[in-house]
Amino acid sequence: MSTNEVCVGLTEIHSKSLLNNNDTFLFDCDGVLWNFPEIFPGAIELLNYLTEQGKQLFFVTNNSTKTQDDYAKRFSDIGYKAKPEQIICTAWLTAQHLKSINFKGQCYVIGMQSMAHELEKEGFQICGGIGPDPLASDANAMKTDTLKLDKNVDCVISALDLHISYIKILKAATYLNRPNVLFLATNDDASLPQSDEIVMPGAGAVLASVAAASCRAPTILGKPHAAMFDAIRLAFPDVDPKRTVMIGDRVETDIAFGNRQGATTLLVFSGATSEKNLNNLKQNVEKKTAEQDNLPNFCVKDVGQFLQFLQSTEKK
Amino acid sequence: MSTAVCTRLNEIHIETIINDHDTFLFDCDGVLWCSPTVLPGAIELLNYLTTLGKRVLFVTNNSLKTQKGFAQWLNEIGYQAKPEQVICTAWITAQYLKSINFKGHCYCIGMQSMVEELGREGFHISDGVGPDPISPETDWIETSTIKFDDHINCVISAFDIHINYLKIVKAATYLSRPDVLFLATNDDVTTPQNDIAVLPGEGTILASIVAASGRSPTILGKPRAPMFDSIRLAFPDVKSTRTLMVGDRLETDILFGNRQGLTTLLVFSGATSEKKLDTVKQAVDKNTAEKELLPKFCIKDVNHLLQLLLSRQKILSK
Repeated sequence: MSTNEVCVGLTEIHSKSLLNNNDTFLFDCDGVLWNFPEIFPGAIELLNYLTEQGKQLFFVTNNSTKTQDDYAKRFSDIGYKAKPEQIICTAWLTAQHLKSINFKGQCYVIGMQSMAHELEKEGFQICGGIGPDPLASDANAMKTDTLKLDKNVDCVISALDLHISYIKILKAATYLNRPNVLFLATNDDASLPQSDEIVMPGAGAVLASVAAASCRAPTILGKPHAAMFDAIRLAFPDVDPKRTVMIGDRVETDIAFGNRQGATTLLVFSGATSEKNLNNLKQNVEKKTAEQDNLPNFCVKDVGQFLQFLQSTEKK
Repeated sequence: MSTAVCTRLNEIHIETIINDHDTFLFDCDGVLWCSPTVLPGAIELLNYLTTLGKRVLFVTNNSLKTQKGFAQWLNEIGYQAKPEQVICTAWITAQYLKSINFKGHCYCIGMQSMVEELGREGFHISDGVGPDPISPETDWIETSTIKFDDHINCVISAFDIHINYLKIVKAATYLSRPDVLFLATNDDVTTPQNDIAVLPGEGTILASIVAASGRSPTILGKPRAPMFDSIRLAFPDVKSTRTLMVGDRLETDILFGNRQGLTTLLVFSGATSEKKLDTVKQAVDKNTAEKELLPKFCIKDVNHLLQLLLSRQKILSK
């Protein structure tokens, strides 16, 4: 498979090649398999098909609001028997990262309950940050003398948090101002996938405020950064990026991630990126105003189409 | 005019300071007070300059108070300020909207001061001020339950201690609609410090809205021009070449003053220490920082400026 090919429209022949030359298939979820609760036609069938063909499947998602167990249950409910270890989600990844650096100490975590669950599962202690921490509704100033700050915080973690508030940003920034406090972020996606016109801020919006207030830059774990693939290879040493396909809907996370790891990348147009977006990006890359890494090797309408190509090659 | 920078202000400069400047602009936090403590000599300096016939204006990025609120505070601490002497960001937001002949409704992430100042000029803030609570048990937001206003054509980002996820959803959604203006009072990332905690400033709130919306705002406060535009509109006889800007922050006060062609005086009583100034000076020499960050003059604090002026007075009266 030539890695110089970019934005090639997937055909039956390419699909057969992808199947024969790759052992591992990585799937982003939102915008690829579903726009929950709507499961895309052919998605589950594709996962089952690839599994029957003896392929190894992983689900690689920047979503930090669910645990491995949550995702495994969701897959099971909709017809695919996923094992928790197939789920590479950022809450789990954060715990793995802390484990890999032999982290000792307490974490202040701006995030949802899923973060607490995955971190505590690996024995890490959380000293605050999960859930609401609001000011009184009639407050018109921040009074720091009544503030409760923990003396022993060694790590601040920023994830998507529906309960983000001024106090939480203050606490995170104050802790980050102390010496030797680690700063991690699950991901920096600016917004969540949405089917309607409403913009839902992503972890990146929360991170932007913590980074601005602290004047510090975090180590970001999620796509497109390498930590996700490192975690896969640690748990499954036989995974070979040259025999891996990454299927995603976002060029700056999924596709950049796949390309940087040396995998073959397949972009679907069922999520964040339209054909028009991709064409604009291609032109910008030619003008050298955008990164080449963001261009996929292949693109296809959706996973249903990919399945059809695979099944029609089989019939022949 | 000398192009020297970071000159330590002393007796030899004081004649120039007094004779060559009619208007004195003061930043407040870190210059006149370190809230809630008024700095020694601050009020005496303001009164002294006023008795000399100088125009004194207060130029602050703080969007928490109205002109009236600031003037009241100054009166309480011993300086008879008129509201129009206060150039604060809540007021300049209203002035800016007036200057562009804005018609429509605003979604404003900010405090009550924004409602009052915009209201004075007849601008209506539909939503965004005060708490917009999410249920504490929430682990997901059902977007169909969010109430949006179809007539919003401006989103304003100001300092807001009630910032939360829902407000960022609304701001970013309004900003995704066509022809919706995006304004920010300022982008200071921290408010003046205390020893207990790092206090996030308006810039941190703005950062989350910018990230979520993918849009850049028109920023009104220091170091940007709209602040001086408002001063010139309200006081047409103010000449930049005869104006002194006294501030404690390089990237807001001093940059603002230098860009407008004012004489700039940095005090070390607030955000910038002598060591920090030195670091920035070295960066400028290496071409890794803007020259306009450097003040023409610097001095320990406003009390030292007052003492120089009073010494001069003593010499003149002999």
